[in-house]
Amino acid sequence: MKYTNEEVIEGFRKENQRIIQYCYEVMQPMVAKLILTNSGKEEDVKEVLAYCISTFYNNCRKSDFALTAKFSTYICAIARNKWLKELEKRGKYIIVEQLTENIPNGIDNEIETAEINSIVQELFRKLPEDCQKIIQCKHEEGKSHQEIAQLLDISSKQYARTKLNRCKGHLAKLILESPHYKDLLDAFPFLKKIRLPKSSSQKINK
Amino acid sequence: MNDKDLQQIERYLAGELKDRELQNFEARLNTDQEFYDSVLAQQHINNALNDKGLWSFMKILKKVEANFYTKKNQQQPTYSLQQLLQFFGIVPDYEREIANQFTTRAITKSSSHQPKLLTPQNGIDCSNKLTFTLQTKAVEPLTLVIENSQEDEVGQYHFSAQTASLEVDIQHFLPGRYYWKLFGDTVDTIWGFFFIHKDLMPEKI
Repeated sequence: MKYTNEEVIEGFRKENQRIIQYCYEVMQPMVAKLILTNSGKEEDVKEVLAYCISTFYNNCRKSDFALTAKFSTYICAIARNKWLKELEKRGKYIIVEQLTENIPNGIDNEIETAEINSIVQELFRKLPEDCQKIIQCKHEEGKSHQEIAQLLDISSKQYARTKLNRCKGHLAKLILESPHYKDLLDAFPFLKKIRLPKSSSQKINK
Repeated sequence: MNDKDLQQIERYLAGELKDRELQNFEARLNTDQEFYDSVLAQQHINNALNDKGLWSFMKILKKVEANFYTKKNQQQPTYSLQQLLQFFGIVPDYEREIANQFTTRAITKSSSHQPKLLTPQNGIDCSNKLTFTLQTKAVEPLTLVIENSQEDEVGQYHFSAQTASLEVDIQHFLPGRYYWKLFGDTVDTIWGFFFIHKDLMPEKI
C-alpha cells in the first residue's frame, strides 16, 4: 500500500482528492470482484463503492476513529455487508465468500453507525433529477424558498417549499423501504430516538 | 404523508411548532408508529442533507469516480462485433499446420536439432507476457514470428543459440487469436496459437 492507514484517514478528513482517488483505485477491483462474481453488474459496483467510500469518510470524521485493520479490509467489510443486504433485498441468497476471510471480528459494529448518512446520500442519487436539484439548492447551497422559486422557475416560494417537502417525503419513503436502514435501527436502538428541538416539552423515544 | 403533514414535520424538526400545535404533534408521535417512523426518517435525512462536509465530499467522490472510469475506458477500448469476428478469426492453413505437426510430424530437416517446446501451451489466453521455453537449449539461433488472424506479422523475436527461454511482451496486442511459428536454418517450423482476451471472442466462432 502506498499510504498508511493514518495517512488515508487524515487524507479523508482533509478531503484530499489524491488520497480519495488512491483509495478508490485500490478498492475498485476488490469491490468489483466481490460484486461481479456474486450476481452484480458494473452499475452495482459503482453504487456500492460510492456508498463504502462515503461511509468510510463519515467514520474518518469522528475524532476517535481508528482502524483496527487495513483500510482496504475495512472498506471490504462495508462492501460485503452492503452487497449481502442488497442481494437479500433482491431475493437472492448467495453466500458471499470472497473477501470475507480476513475481516476481523467486531469490525462490523464499528462500521454501521456511520452508515445512515451514506444511505441518505445513496438514495438521494435515486431521486428524480428535479428533486435532486431542489434539495441541493436548499441544503447544499443554502438558498431560500424565494431564490429556489426564481432559480428553478417555480411559480411561488410557497410552491417551492411544498415541492421541496414532497421531494424529501419521497426520499423518506425510499429510506423507510430500505431493509438496510431498518436493520441499522434494529441494531442500534439509539438511532430510533428523535432528537427534539429545544422548545419541545417532552422526550420522544420509541 | 400529505403536504400538511410534511410541512408540519419540517417545522417540528426546525423547532417551529408551539403550544397546542406542538402538543398535538407530540401526542400523534406517541400514538402513531407510522408517523413516528416518518418523522425519524425525516430527521435522519435532514442530518445528512445539512452536513456541508458530506456534500463537498460527495462532489469530490463524483470527480474521482468520473476520473477513474474515464481512465478505465481509455485503457479498455470497445470493439464492434465485426471487429471481434475479424480479430478472432481462424486461419485454416495455419490450423492445418498446427494439426499436422501433432499427427504426421513430417520432419524434413535435421531431426536431431528439432527443438521441443515446453511452453506456451496451445490455445492459452494471455494478457501481459508470453514465455517460450525449450526443453533443451537451442543449438542454433531461432526466429519466432507472431501473426494475427489476418496473417499480419505483429512481432518478430529471436532465440539466441544456447538459450532455452524467451519472454515476449504482448501487452500492446489487441484482443484476438494469434499464431506463432518458430523456425531456424536446420529445424522444422513449429506452429502454435494463443489468445488475447479470449473472453471477448464472439460465440459464433
